[in-house]
Amino acid sequence: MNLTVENVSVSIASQQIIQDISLHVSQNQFVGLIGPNGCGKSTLLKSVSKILEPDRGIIMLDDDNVQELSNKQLAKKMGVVGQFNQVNFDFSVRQMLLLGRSPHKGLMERDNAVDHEIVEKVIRQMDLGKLADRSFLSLSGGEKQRVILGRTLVQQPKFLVLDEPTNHLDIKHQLSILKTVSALPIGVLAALHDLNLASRFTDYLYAMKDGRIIKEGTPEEVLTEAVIKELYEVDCRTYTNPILGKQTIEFL
Amino acid sequence: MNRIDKQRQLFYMSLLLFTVLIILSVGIGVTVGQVAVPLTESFQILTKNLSGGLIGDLSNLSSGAYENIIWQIRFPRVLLAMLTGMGLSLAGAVMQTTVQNPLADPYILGISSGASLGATFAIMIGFGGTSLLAQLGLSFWAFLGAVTAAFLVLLLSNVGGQVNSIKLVLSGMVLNALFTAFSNFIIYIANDAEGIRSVTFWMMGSLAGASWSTLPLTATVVLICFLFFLTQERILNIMLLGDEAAISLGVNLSFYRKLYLVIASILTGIIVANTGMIGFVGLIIPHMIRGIVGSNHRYFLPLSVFSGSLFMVWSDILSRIILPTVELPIGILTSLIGAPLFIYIFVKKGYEFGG
Repeated sequence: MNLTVENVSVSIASQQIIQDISLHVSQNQFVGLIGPNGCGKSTLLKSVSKILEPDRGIIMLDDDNVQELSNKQLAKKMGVVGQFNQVNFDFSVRQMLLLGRSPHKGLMERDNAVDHEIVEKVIRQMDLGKLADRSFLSLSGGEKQRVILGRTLVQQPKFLVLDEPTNHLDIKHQLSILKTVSALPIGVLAALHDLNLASRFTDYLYAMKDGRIIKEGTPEEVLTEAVIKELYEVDCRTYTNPILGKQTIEFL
Repeated sequence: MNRIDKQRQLFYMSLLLFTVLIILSVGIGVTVGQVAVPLTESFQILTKNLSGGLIGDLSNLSSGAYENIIWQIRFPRVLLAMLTGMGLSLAGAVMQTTVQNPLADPYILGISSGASLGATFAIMIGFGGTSLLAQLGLSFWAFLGAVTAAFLVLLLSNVGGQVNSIKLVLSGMVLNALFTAFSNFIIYIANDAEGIRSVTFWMMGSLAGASWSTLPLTATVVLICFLFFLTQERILNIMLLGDEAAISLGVNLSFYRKLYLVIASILTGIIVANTGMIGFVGLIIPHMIRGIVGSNHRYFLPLSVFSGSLFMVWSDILSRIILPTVELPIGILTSLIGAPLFIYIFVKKGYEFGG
């Protein structure tokens, strides 16, 4: 699915957080959002996923205005992995994954064999086999993050919104999650912290600062020494990595 | 798949076990008390009356008063105990989920203090006494107090945006303090020793008011609420994940939170109106069951309701026999049994709160 964000502004508690943002994600494209802490990445993602309502502007998922879709209709199309997944009560990991089927279920409808099959498939795909029968609360931060992404895949979305999906993850799982996500045949919009991973996996990047987009383009166009200096106020050198052939950043 | 089938099988077996235990306990519940009625005669009386007089013959009873004691006094009382246990556990389980706080109980939203204020008002301002009308008046005021309190809490937590769990708990605490102050004020200025005794008795809870005239309403409310929440298992599960995760799964919690709280408040109100304040059941029963079977409402909700019912029937039995001459207020007993039981599970199972 295509996501189009046009001139969106959002404020929280009468403080303007993002201003006049426009961006586009096409089918099958992996689009990254980069920028310093507090630049409005999460706010933008939350308004895309209908958790926040924009003051101005419009967000379209193909031909549907996201604000006009019901929560359930939206959940059938869009999967979201938020940054905080604090839970006070316990579920088994398998149960947690099964909850991902909810948008597709009627009020009284029980999970059936097809639902269990989808869950088992995601367990294999996400390497969750060892965790499947454990309690969610007993997992480490990174393991929880993987289960939540797994739950989102169980939802079988046609568009994916990720807020720092590699937070808390070790190298192996950072790579495997980004590989999994970028191989999905759907549009993905993700806020990313690690610029080298962003350079390696995304097709297109938007750089945000103080609630505005200051630069967009392919990773090679965006991840320049000047842009990074403006975004993060740090000096760096960029070069083409001889092993992967990707733009790579070395901070000074 | 196999693992889940096994889980399901275990679940249905536990329900069956609980049902058998509850039926047996009801049988025991009607035989014990100040007047000891032989077990066989109790069952004769119950089968005769339950079958509408078709089965059984009561001509060989050792005393004619037995039928009255069993059928008019004890059976309604044991049934009320069952319903109270079911209702309070259900309300507790739902409240804990709705406010996403394992410390919530049926009384958290100021419901208890609202009900107390209603009851105090009724007793002290003149609806007190022993006539039937006065008793009905007391229940009515308690119910009114409970439900009013719950609505005020919802109203207050709705100010300045969406209802969330922290706002709910805080509003409940504030209104709780306010209502308690009002109750104490009424008690203080009324200066009525008899009235104070009645209020105290009411606050400790009692099943002695059970009668066939009020049972059908209570039973209907409890059963309808139970069936309703059984259909909500999926949303209740999602509720535990928090607002943002719920939206991404297609559910807007703020509507359901209000709906569930109103229903749970009415349920609690009905029970409080019948029995006074019976504490702890709604807190510990859901906790214990959660500790054993986890938080999946599909299993957790029915098991809480069944075990709550069993727990109350036995609390009632003990409250009648534990002291030789008088009856112990049941609210005291539920806490006396409940607290050690809770500590045991807490220590034994290494149970994490909410886990």
